[in-house]
Amino acid sequence: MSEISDSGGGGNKKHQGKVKQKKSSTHIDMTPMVDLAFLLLTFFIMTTAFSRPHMMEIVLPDKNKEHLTEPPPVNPSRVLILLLGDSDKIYWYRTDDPAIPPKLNVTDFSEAGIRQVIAAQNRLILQLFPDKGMLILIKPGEGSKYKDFVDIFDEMNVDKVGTYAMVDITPTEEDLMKKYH
Amino acid sequence: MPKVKLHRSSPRLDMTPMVDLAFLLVTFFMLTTKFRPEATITVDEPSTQTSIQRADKNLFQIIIGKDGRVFFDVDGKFTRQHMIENIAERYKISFTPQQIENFSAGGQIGVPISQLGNWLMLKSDAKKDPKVSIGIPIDSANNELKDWLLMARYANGELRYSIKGDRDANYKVVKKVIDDLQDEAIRVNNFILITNMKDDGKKPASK
Repeated sequence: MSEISDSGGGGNKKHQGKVKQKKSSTHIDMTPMVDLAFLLLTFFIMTTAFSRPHMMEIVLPDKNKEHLTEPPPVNPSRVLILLLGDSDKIYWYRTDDPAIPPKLNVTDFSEAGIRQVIAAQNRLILQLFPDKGMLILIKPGEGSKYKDFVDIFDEMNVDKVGTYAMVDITPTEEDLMKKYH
Repeated sequence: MPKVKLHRSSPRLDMTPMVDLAFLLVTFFMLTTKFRPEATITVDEPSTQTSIQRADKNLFQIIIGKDGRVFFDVDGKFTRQHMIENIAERYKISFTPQQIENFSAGGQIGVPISQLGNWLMLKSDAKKDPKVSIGIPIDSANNELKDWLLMARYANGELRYSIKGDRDANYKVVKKVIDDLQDEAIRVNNFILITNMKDDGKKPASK
Protein backbone atom coordinates (compact mmCIF):
# COMPACT_ATOMS: atom_id res chain seq x y z
CA MET A 1 0.00 0.00 0.00
CA SER A 2 2.65 2.46 1.01
CA GLU A 3 4.54 1.74 -2.18
CA ILE A 4 1.81 3.16 -4.29
CA SER A 5 1.33 6.26 -2.26
CA ASP A 6 5.02 7.17 -1.89
CA SER A 7 6.46 7.00 -5.34
CA GLY A 8 4.98 7.44 -8.73
CA GLY A 9 7.25 4.95 -10.51
CA GLY A 10 9.60 2.08 -9.69
CA GLY A 11 12.38 2.94 -7.23
CA ASN A 12 15.41 1.12 -8.63
CA LYS A 13 15.05 2.18 -12.18
CA LYS A 14 16.44 5.67 -11.53
CA HIS A 15 19.93 4.35 -10.93
CA GLN A 16 20.09 2.56 -14.18
CA GLY A 17 19.51 5.76 -16.13
CA LYS A 18 16.76 4.39 -18.29
CA VAL A 19 14.05 6.58 -19.75
CA LYS A 20 11.48 7.08 -17.11
CA GLN A 21 8.05 6.06 -18.12
CA LYS A 22 5.34 8.43 -17.08
CA LYS A 23 2.88 6.64 -14.90
CA SER A 24 -0.31 8.39 -13.93
CA SER A 25 -1.34 8.08 -10.34
CA THR A 26 -3.81 5.38 -9.50
CA HIS A 27 -5.42 7.55 -6.90
CA ILE A 28 -8.94 8.83 -7.33
CA ASP A 29 -10.09 11.66 -5.17
CA MET A 30 -12.77 10.01 -3.11
CA THR A 31 -13.80 13.04 -1.09
CA PRO A 32 -16.98 13.93 -3.05
CA MET A 33 -18.06 10.32 -2.99
CA VAL A 34 -17.55 10.13 0.75
CA ASP A 35 -19.48 13.38 1.15
CA LEU A 36 -22.37 11.99 -0.78
CA ALA A 37 -22.29 8.67 1.05
CA PHE A 38 -22.42 10.33 4.43
CA LEU A 39 -25.15 12.71 3.33
CA LEU A 40 -27.32 9.77 2.29
CA LEU A 41 -26.38 7.90 5.42
CA THR A 42 -27.45 10.80 7.63
CA PHE A 43 -30.69 11.19 5.73
CA PHE A 44 -31.68 7.55 6.07
CA ILE A 45 -30.70 7.35 9.73
CA MET A 46 -32.74 10.44 10.51
CA THR A 47 -35.83 9.28 8.66
CA THR A 48 -35.93 5.76 10.09
CA ALA A 49 -35.09 6.14 13.74
CA PHE A 50 -37.84 8.50 14.87
CA SER A 51 -40.90 7.10 13.25
CA ARG A 52 -42.16 4.65 15.86
CA PRO A 53 -45.32 5.89 17.52
CA HIS A 54 -46.10 5.82 21.21
CA MET A 55 -49.09 3.88 22.27
CA MET A 56 -51.36 3.26 25.19
CA GLU A 57 -53.22 0.03 25.52
CA ILE A 58 -56.74 -0.18 26.90
CA VAL A 59 -58.96 -3.13 27.48
CA LEU A 60 -62.71 -2.79 27.74
CA PRO A 61 -65.16 -5.43 28.93
CA ASP A 62 -66.89 -7.50 26.29
CA LYS A 63 -70.30 -6.02 25.55
CA ASN A 64 -71.84 -9.09 24.02
CA LYS A 65 -74.77 -10.55 25.81
CA GLU A 66 -73.65 -14.14 26.06
CA HIS A 67 -70.62 -13.10 28.09
CA LEU A 68 -72.56 -10.77 30.28
CA THR A 69 -72.82 -11.95 33.83
CA GLU A 70 -74.46 -10.12 36.66
CA PRO A 71 -71.84 -7.73 38.01
CA PRO A 72 -71.00 -8.30 41.65
CA PRO A 73 -72.74 -5.80 43.91
CA VAL A 74 -70.55 -2.85 44.79
CA ASN A 75 -71.00 -0.69 47.80
CA PRO A 76 -71.66 2.77 46.31
CA SER A 77 -69.53 4.39 49.00
CA ARG A 78 -66.32 3.01 47.58
CA VAL A 79 -67.01 4.32 44.09
CA LEU A 80 -65.51 7.57 42.87
CA ILE A 81 -67.29 8.89 39.81
CA LEU A 82 -65.50 11.17 37.39
CA LEU A 83 -67.51 13.02 34.77
CA LEU A 84 -65.49 14.50 31.93
CA GLY A 85 -66.95 17.84 30.95
CA ASP A 86 -66.14 20.43 28.35
CA SER A 87 -63.14 22.81 28.44
CA ASP A 88 -60.88 20.40 30.34
CA LYS A 89 -62.98 20.09 33.46
CA ILE A 90 -63.57 17.01 35.54
CA TYR A 91 -66.64 16.86 37.75
CA TRP A 92 -66.45 14.27 40.47
CA TYR A 93 -68.64 12.96 43.24
CA ARG A 94 -69.11 10.15 45.68
CA THR A 95 -72.48 9.16 46.90
CA ASP A 96 -73.79 6.78 49.51
CA ASP A 97 -77.22 6.53 47.97
CA PRO A 98 -77.50 6.53 44.16
CA ALA A 99 -81.14 7.65 44.39
CA ILE A 100 -80.29 11.08 45.75
CA PRO A 101 -78.89 13.51 43.17
CA PRO A 102 -75.24 14.01 44.08
CA LYS A 103 -73.40 17.24 44.62
CA LEU A 104 -70.67 17.77 42.09
CA ASN A 105 -67.17 19.06 42.69
CA VAL A 106 -65.05 20.40 39.89
CA THR A 107 -61.36 19.99 39.20
CA ASP A 108 -59.00 19.86 36.21
CA PHE A 109 -56.32 17.67 34.68
CA SER A 110 -53.38 19.36 36.38
CA GLU A 111 -51.23 17.65 38.99
CA ALA A 112 -52.78 19.79 41.70
CA GLY A 113 -56.23 18.88 40.43
CA ILE A 114 -57.35 15.36 39.68
CA ARG A 115 -54.23 13.71 41.10
CA GLN A 116 -54.86 15.24 44.52
CA VAL A 117 -58.55 14.33 44.37
CA ILE A 118 -57.76 10.71 43.56
CA ALA A 119 -55.11 10.50 46.29
CA ALA A 120 -57.40 12.07 48.91
CA GLN A 121 -60.42 9.97 48.01
CA ASN A 122 -58.30 6.85 47.91
CA ARG A 123 -57.15 7.52 51.47
CA LEU A 124 -60.72 8.10 52.67
CA ILE A 125 -62.06 4.99 50.99
CA LEU A 126 -59.18 2.86 52.26
CA GLN A 127 -60.12 3.84 55.82
CA LEU A 128 -63.68 2.65 55.23
CA PHE A 129 -62.82 -0.45 53.21
CA PRO A 130 -59.26 -1.42 54.14
CA ASP A 131 -59.27 -4.64 52.12
CA LYS A 132 -61.01 -3.46 48.96
CA GLY A 133 -59.97 0.04 48.06
CA MET A 134 -61.38 2.47 45.59
CA LEU A 135 -63.25 1.85 42.35
CA ILE A 136 -63.27 4.62 39.76
CA LEU A 137 -65.96 5.05 37.15
CA ILE A 138 -65.09 7.28 34.23
CA LYS A 139 -67.97 8.83 32.36
CA PRO A 140 -67.01 11.02 29.42
CA GLY A 141 -69.66 13.64 28.76
CA GLU A 142 -71.04 14.97 25.49
CA GLY A 143 -68.76 17.96 25.41
CA SER A 144 -65.53 16.17 26.27
CA LYS A 145 -62.70 15.82 23.81
CA TYR A 146 -60.58 12.84 22.80
CA LYS A 147 -57.71 14.43 24.73
CA ASP A 148 -59.70 14.25 27.99
CA PHE A 149 -60.42 10.59 27.38
CA VAL A 150 -56.74 9.78 26.80
CA ASP A 151 -55.61 12.00 29.67
CA ILE A 152 -57.84 10.30 32.21
CA PHE A 153 -56.55 6.85 31.23
CA ASP A 154 -53.04 8.22 31.45
CA GLU A 155 -53.84 9.54 34.91
CA MET A 156 -55.09 6.09 35.94
CA ASN A 157 -51.78 4.61 34.80
CA VAL A 158 -49.74 7.28 36.55
CA ASP A 159 -51.66 6.91 39.80
CA LYS A 160 -51.61 3.11 39.55
CA VAL A 161 -55.34 2.92 40.17
CA GLY A 162 -56.18 -0.77 40.22
CA THR A 163 -59.83 -0.84 39.32
CA TYR A 164 -61.42 1.60 36.96
CA ALA A 165 -64.02 1.32 34.27
CA MET A 166 -65.47 3.42 31.52
CA VAL A 167 -69.22 3.78 31.67
CA ASP A 168 -71.76 5.72 29.62
CA ILE A 169 -72.91 8.95 31.18
CA THR A 170 -76.53 9.26 32.28
CA PRO A 171 -78.77 12.18 31.24
CA THR A 172 -79.11 13.17 34.91
CA GLU A 173 -75.38 13.56 35.19
CA GLU A 174 -75.24 15.61 31.96
CA ASP A 175 -77.86 17.92 33.46
CA LEU A 176 -75.95 18.25 36.70
CA MET A 177 -72.83 19.21 34.78
CA LYS A 178 -74.70 21.84 32.79
CA LYS A 179 -76.26 23.31 35.92
CA TYR A 180 -72.98 23.52 37.73
CA HIS A 181 -71.89 26.78 36.09
CA MET B 1 28.78 11.75 5.48
CA PRO B 2 25.47 11.43 3.73
CA LYS B 3 22.65 13.30 5.24
CA VAL B 4 20.00 11.34 6.95
CA LYS B 5 17.04 11.41 4.65
CA LEU B 6 13.92 12.43 6.44
CA HIS B 7 11.13 10.06 5.77
CA ARG B 8 8.13 12.06 4.79
CA SER B 9 4.87 10.27 5.14
CA SER B 10 2.19 11.04 2.68
CA PRO B 11 -0.62 13.22 4.02
CA ARG B 12 -3.08 11.08 2.18
CA LEU B 13 -5.32 8.81 4.13
CA ASP B 14 -6.58 5.62 2.69
CA MET B 15 -10.30 6.22 2.72
CA THR B 16 -11.34 2.95 1.12
CA PRO B 17 -12.50 1.14 4.28
CA MET B 18 -14.43 4.19 5.40
CA VAL B 19 -16.17 4.44 2.06
CA ASP B 20 -16.92 0.73 2.17
CA LEU B 21 -18.50 1.09 5.54
CA ALA B 22 -20.43 4.20 4.59
CA PHE B 23 -21.91 2.58 1.52
CA LEU B 24 -22.71 -0.57 3.43
CA LEU B 25 -24.73 1.50 5.90
CA VAL B 26 -26.35 3.53 3.13
CA THR B 27 -27.44 0.37 1.41
CA PHE B 28 -28.77 -1.06 4.66
CA PHE B 29 -30.82 2.01 5.50
CA MET B 30 -32.07 2.40 1.96
CA LEU B 31 -33.32 -1.13 1.90
CA THR B 32 -34.88 -1.09 5.34
CA THR B 33 -36.59 2.28 5.07
CA LYS B 34 -40.16 2.10 4.02
CA PHE B 35 -41.40 5.48 3.04
CA ARG B 36 -44.65 6.28 4.66
CA PRO B 37 -47.28 7.50 2.22
CA GLU B 38 -48.09 11.13 2.78
CA ALA B 39 -50.80 11.65 5.36
CA THR B 40 -54.10 12.75 3.90
CA ILE B 41 -55.35 14.03 7.23
CA THR B 42 -53.07 15.53 9.83
CA VAL B 43 -53.74 14.69 13.41
CA ASP B 44 -52.31 16.22 16.55
CA GLU B 45 -52.25 13.39 19.05
CA PRO B 46 -52.69 14.04 22.77
CA SER B 47 -49.63 13.64 24.98
CA THR B 48 -49.39 11.17 27.81
CA GLN B 49 -46.91 10.42 30.53
CA THR B 50 -47.23 6.67 30.34
CA SER B 51 -46.91 4.73 27.15
CA ILE B 52 -45.64 1.55 25.65
CA GLN B 53 -43.72 1.12 22.46
CA ARG B 54 -44.31 -1.78 20.25
CA ALA B 55 -43.48 -2.66 16.69
CA ASP B 56 -46.03 -1.06 14.42
CA LYS B 57 -46.51 -4.12 12.28
CA ASN B 58 -49.98 -5.46 11.63
CA LEU B 59 -51.63 -2.30 12.83
CA PHE B 60 -55.07 -1.12 11.83
CA GLN B 61 -55.34 2.58 12.55
CA ILE B 62 -58.56 4.48 12.87
CA ILE B 63 -57.77 8.14 12.47
CA ILE B 64 -60.14 10.73 13.89
CA GLY B 65 -59.63 14.29 12.75
CA LYS B 66 -60.30 17.49 14.60
CA ASP B 67 -63.42 18.01 12.50
CA GLY B 68 -64.78 14.53 13.20
CA ARG B 69 -63.80 12.96 9.90
CA VAL B 70 -62.83 9.32 10.26
CA PHE B 71 -60.08 7.68 8.19
CA PHE B 72 -58.41 4.33 8.39
CA ASP B 73 -55.03 2.96 7.49
CA VAL B 74 -53.80 -0.61 7.60
CA ASP B 75 -50.45 -2.27 7.07
CA GLY B 76 -49.73 -5.00 4.62
CA LYS B 77 -50.21 -5.01 0.88
CA PHE B 78 -51.74 -8.45 0.92
CA THR B 79 -54.22 -7.55 3.66
CA ARG B 80 -55.30 -4.42 1.82
CA GLN B 81 -55.78 -6.24 -1.43
CA HIS B 82 -58.00 -8.80 0.27
CA MET B 83 -59.99 -6.04 1.92
CA ILE B 84 -60.80 -4.13 -1.25
CA GLU B 85 -61.73 -7.30 -3.12
CA ASN B 86 -64.12 -8.33 -0.38
CA ILE B 87 -65.61 -4.85 -0.15
CA ALA B 88 -66.16 -4.81 -3.91
CA GLU B 89 -67.98 -8.10 -3.64
CA ARG B 90 -70.11 -7.00 -0.74
CA TYR B 91 -71.07 -3.63 -2.22
CA LYS B 92 -71.49 -5.08 -5.72
CA ILE B 93 -69.15 -2.58 -7.31
CA SER B 94 -66.00 -3.19 -9.29
CA PHE B 95 -62.62 -1.55 -9.20
CA THR B 96 -60.10 -1.35 -11.99
CA PRO B 97 -56.77 -3.16 -11.48
CA GLN B 98 -55.12 0.26 -11.18
CA GLN B 99 -57.49 1.27 -8.40
CA ILE B 100 -56.86 -1.97 -6.55
CA GLU B 101 -53.13 -1.42 -6.97
CA ASN B 102 -53.40 2.12 -5.58
CA PHE B 103 -55.41 0.90 -2.62
CA SER B 104 -52.98 -1.91 -1.85
CA ALA B 105 -49.97 0.38 -2.02
CA GLY B 106 -50.92 1.95 1.27
CA GLY B 107 -52.08 5.25 2.67
CA GLN B 108 -54.99 6.58 4.60
CA ILE B 109 -58.46 5.98 3.25
CA GLY B 110 -61.17 8.49 4.04
CA VAL B 111 -64.08 8.45 1.64
CA PRO B 112 -67.41 6.59 1.31
CA ILE B 113 -67.15 3.36 -0.64
CA SER B 114 -69.35 4.71 -3.45
CA GLN B 115 -66.71 7.35 -4.22
CA LEU B 116 -63.69 5.18 -3.46
CA GLY B 117 -62.84 4.19 -7.05
CA ASN B 118 -62.45 7.73 -8.34
CA TRP B 119 -60.84 8.89 -5.13
CA LEU B 120 -58.08 6.28 -5.45
CA MET B 121 -57.00 7.80 -8.77
CA LEU B 122 -56.47 11.27 -7.26
CA LYS B 123 -53.09 12.74 -6.44
CA SER B 124 -52.18 13.00 -2.78
CA ASP B 125 -52.47 16.80 -2.84
CA ALA B 126 -56.03 16.61 -4.10
CA LYS B 127 -56.91 14.11 -1.39
CA LYS B 128 -55.96 16.60 1.30
CA ASP B 129 -58.99 18.74 0.52
CA PRO B 130 -61.59 18.13 3.26
CA LYS B 131 -64.34 18.50 0.64
CA VAL B 132 -62.83 15.65 -1.35
CA SER B 133 -61.90 13.36 1.51
CA ILE B 134 -65.08 13.63 3.51
CA GLY B 135 -64.31 10.70 5.79
CA ILE B 136 -65.77 7.25 6.23
CA PRO B 137 -69.47 7.20 7.18
CA ILE B 138 -70.02 5.97 10.72
CA ASP B 139 -73.70 6.82 11.19
CA SER B 140 -75.81 3.98 12.43
CA ALA B 141 -77.79 4.05 9.17
CA ASN B 142 -74.70 3.81 6.99
CA ASN B 143 -71.78 2.44 8.92
CA GLU B 144 -69.02 1.63 6.46
CA LEU B 145 -66.28 1.63 9.07
CA LYS B 146 -67.82 -1.50 10.50
CA ASP B 147 -67.59 -3.23 7.12
CA TRP B 148 -63.98 -2.19 6.68
CA LEU B 149 -63.17 -3.52 10.14
CA LEU B 150 -64.90 -6.78 9.36
CA MET B 151 -63.02 -7.17 6.08
CA ALA B 152 -59.74 -6.39 7.81
CA ARG B 153 -60.50 -9.11 10.34
CA TYR B 154 -61.16 -11.62 7.58
CA ALA B 155 -58.04 -10.62 5.70
CA ASN B 156 -55.61 -10.70 8.61
CA GLY B 157 -56.44 -12.24 11.96
CA GLU B 158 -53.30 -10.89 13.59
CA LEU B 159 -54.15 -7.25 13.19
CA ARG B 160 -54.08 -5.00 16.23
CA TYR B 161 -56.54 -2.14 16.26
CA SER B 162 -55.66 1.36 17.25
CA ILE B 163 -57.26 4.76 17.48
CA LYS B 164 -55.26 7.79 16.51
CA GLY B 165 -57.35 10.78 17.38
CA ASP B 166 -56.78 14.48 17.32
CA ARG B 167 -56.70 15.96 20.79
CA ASP B 168 -59.69 18.15 19.98
CA ALA B 169 -61.80 15.45 18.38
CA ASN B 170 -65.17 15.24 20.04
CA TYR B 171 -65.72 12.28 22.32
CA LYS B 172 -69.01 11.44 20.63
CA VAL B 173 -67.15 10.38 17.47
CA VAL B 174 -64.62 8.44 19.54
CA LYS B 175 -67.47 6.69 21.30
CA LYS B 176 -69.02 5.64 17.98
CA VAL B 177 -65.69 4.25 16.81
CA ILE B 178 -65.24 2.30 20.04
CA ASP B 179 -68.78 0.96 19.72
CA ASP B 180 -67.94 -0.26 16.21
CA LEU B 181 -64.82 -1.98 17.49
CA GLN B 182 -66.81 -3.69 20.20
CA ASP B 183 -69.59 -4.66 17.82
CA GLU B 184 -70.76 -8.25 18.01
CA ALA B 185 -69.25 -9.17 14.66
CA ILE B 186 -65.91 -7.52 15.29
CA ARG B 187 -65.33 -7.91 19.01
CA VAL B 188 -62.21 -5.93 19.57
CA ASN B 189 -62.13 -5.15 23.27
CA ASN B 190 -58.42 -4.65 23.51
CA PHE B 191 -57.08 -1.80 21.49
CA ILE B 192 -54.39 0.82 21.38
CA LEU B 193 -54.52 4.58 21.65
CA ILE B 194 -51.72 6.23 19.72
CA THR B 195 -50.28 9.12 21.67
CA ASN B 196 -47.37 11.46 21.89
CA MET B 197 -44.88 11.35 24.70
CA LYS B 198 -45.01 14.27 27.07
CA ASP B 199 -41.69 16.06 27.02
CA ASP B 200 -41.35 16.84 30.69
CA GLY B 201 -38.14 14.93 31.39
CA LYS B 202 -39.87 12.41 33.59
CA LYS B 203 -39.03 8.81 33.11
CA PRO B 204 -42.07 7.12 31.65
CA ALA B 205 -43.64 4.45 33.77
CA SER B 206 -43.59 1.55 31.38
CA LYS B 207 -46.34 -0.91 31.58
